[in-house]
Amino acid sequence: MTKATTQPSTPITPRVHPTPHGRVSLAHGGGGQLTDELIHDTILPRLDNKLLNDLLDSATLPATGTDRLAMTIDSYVVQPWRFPGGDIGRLAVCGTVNDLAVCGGEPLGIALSLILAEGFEMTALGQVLDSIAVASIEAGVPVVTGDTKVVGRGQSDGIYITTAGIGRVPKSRMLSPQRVQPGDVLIVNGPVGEHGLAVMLERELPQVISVLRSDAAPLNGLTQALLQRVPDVLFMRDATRSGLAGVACDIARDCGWRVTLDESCIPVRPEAQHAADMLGLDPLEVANEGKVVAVVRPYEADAAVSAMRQHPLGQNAQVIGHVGHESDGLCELRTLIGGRRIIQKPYGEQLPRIC
Amino acid sequence: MCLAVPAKLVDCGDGQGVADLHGNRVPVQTLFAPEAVVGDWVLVHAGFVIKRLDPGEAEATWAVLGDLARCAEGTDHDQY
Amino acid sequence: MTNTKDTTARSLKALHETAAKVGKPLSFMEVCGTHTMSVFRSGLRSLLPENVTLLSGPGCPVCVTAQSDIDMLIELACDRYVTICTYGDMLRVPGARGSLERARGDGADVRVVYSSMDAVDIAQQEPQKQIVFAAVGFETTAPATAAAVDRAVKLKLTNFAVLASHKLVMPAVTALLEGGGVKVDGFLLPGHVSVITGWRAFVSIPGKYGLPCVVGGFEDEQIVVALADLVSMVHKSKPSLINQYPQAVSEEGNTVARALLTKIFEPCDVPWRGLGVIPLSGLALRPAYKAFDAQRKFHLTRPPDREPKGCRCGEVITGAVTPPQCVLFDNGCTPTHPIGPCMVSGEGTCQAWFKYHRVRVPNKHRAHADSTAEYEVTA
Repeated sequence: MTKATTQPSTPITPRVHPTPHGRVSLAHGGGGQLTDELIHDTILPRLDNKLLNDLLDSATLPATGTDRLAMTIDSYVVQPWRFPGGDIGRLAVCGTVNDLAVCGGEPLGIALSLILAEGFEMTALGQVLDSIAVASIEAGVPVVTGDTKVVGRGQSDGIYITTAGIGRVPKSRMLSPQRVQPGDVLIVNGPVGEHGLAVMLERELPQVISVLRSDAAPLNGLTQALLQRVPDVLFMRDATRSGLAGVACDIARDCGWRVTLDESCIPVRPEAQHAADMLGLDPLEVANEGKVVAVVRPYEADAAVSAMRQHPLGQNAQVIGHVGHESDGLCELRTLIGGRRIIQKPYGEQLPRIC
Repeated sequence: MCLAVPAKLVDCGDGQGVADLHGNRVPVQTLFAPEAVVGDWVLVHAGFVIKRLDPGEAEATWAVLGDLARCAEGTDHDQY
Repeated sequence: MTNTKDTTARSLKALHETAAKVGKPLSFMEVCGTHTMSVFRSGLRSLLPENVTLLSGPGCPVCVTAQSDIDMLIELACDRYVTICTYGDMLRVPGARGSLERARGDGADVRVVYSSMDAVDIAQQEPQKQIVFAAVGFETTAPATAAAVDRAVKLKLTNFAVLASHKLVMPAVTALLEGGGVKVDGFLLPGHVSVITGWRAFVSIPGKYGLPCVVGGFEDEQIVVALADLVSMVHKSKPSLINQYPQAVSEEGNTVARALLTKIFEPCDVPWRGLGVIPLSGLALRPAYKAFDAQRKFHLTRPPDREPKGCRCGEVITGAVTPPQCVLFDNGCTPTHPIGPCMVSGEGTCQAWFKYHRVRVPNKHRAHADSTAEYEVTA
């Protein structure tokens, strides 16, 4: 028997990092600035590595043959677990498929982990699994492995799901915000704000009966169609928790140029706008689960929009903004009345505002 | 300060009712606008009808709200 | 669509022309947080004539709620038999010992409601709990609290109470004008407060103080029209009160709502954050309804109001300074970590400035660098 030579002679001691203060608040999970703070101050310093530090929707692992592998993971804790237009199961599949899709990947399989609370209704679990199956078929991506845990009553609130996914990305495909340059245009595949508003109405105002539906949908078909027509898409990101505002700000920050959105071109359904008005929210800052922002060269904008519009999930695709020559990394809105103002990434948990 | 949105009263009686705008139906208290009847435009604040709007004037307000549809005009719900 | 855009463009043109004729610097105060929000959101500030400035007055109910009110709510929330029902607006406002949001994180039962009646429903459904409704808001919102108390009386509820922090707009405006510290050339009056009070409540502003007033709606176009009217009245030196929100605002206001308000509440002296106690600017439950007064029911003594050190929210909401003049602005006080109430509320003047007007210089290497820069708006 030979001694393992890879064994280090001294035990590995983790580097000492400042102890974070206070307690975790709901806003730390809101996907806004407070989430960014948690990631940058507490998580990244400890798990520091090149792939993780990029904070892309999926990490792209080194190539095997002609392809690289994209890998992603996400947890779903949405309350309530069922909402108009979907449920936590549909969300768990779409979210992970979309994270792979926006990295230019072709999703290959999903790993599914269920955390169930003791007492959760079996019929409800059946519904969630049915949704998972339907979304998986829609996406054409199978659930290939899984895990189930049950926690005691009161330890969890019904059902949580974690999904991880792996996808194949052609070696030649390079989607990165760093490739974005002045003159490039931003395109969205349809009206924004609907998922977040539908969930918030269901949670905060269950007495409201609304036609508003979550837009949760797997976008891999749409992104593949887009990439087929316009292989040189520069960057894509799904506009999830911090909404269109969050994505636009991230793009501006990461490319270093000013991004200007045109309010008159941003599609918002009237029912979404009205729900947002009722709750004192801005549809631009609310989550989507079936919307992607793609950045392309200006001469490819028409082709990109028409490719999206030929897909059922992109019928209302629009050019919504462009990248300017100011190198300040800001995001700006050209408003309906021709004014200008800054767009900032939302801060955290969105709260209804009334009085 | 005080968020209030116009909506159409689609049901009312006994101090309570339901107001609708663009397909969002909200239960409302109507005790502050006892004169309001089904079909009226009303202004809703924190679950209370605070004003029955003059029909002609309300259409003006509605026109302004209609603008908010922006480019979404002509969209449908069939894609779900 | 084009119609509204055209009207807005026409009104903007009129505003610019008249403002040019007046020549001298003009400042108008909006006394409504929703106006503040609309003005920032629509980018209207970037379209105003150079000599026209908009000041945000004490028009955000969250921003003017005294710290002692928050402290009392948090003290109540710590009692495990008490459930606090609050509008979402109040959740993040800091008191001396944190916010309701933090109390909820520590295990307190704090629930967000859309309507005061939701709190009454909860009291009915959960008789083992003591429900306290955090009653904030101006004249628009106060009648809803009165209706909730009225309903609780009818239902003979013994587990429902309100902590009333309601505020009245006109006494605050009067205090500003009498104090003499505020130099404005006119007021954009709060449209939805006026729905309840009627525009007549404000006639003394042009009458006694000689300042023009316009009751304005909240759409971009309505705000521009209101501003154009204000400048025009200054130009003609004919201050009066114009109602530019006739769709919703009458001379009398909502008499039914006011009658119920007067039945349940009476005016009282209350502290405003940053402004101190203003005579008869708040609402107290009348003696017959004292059983629903949370302060009395739970034997709460109002703690002293201590403003956070360096915080200038009081001066911000009187228009005496703009947010960047406060040393804490973006220097310890941000929307993610607010110190003063004007940074908490989405319609608070400081948050609106922070969000829509002043920006951080993005720095990838130090994501939370303190470096800031004024956002240059070029016409």
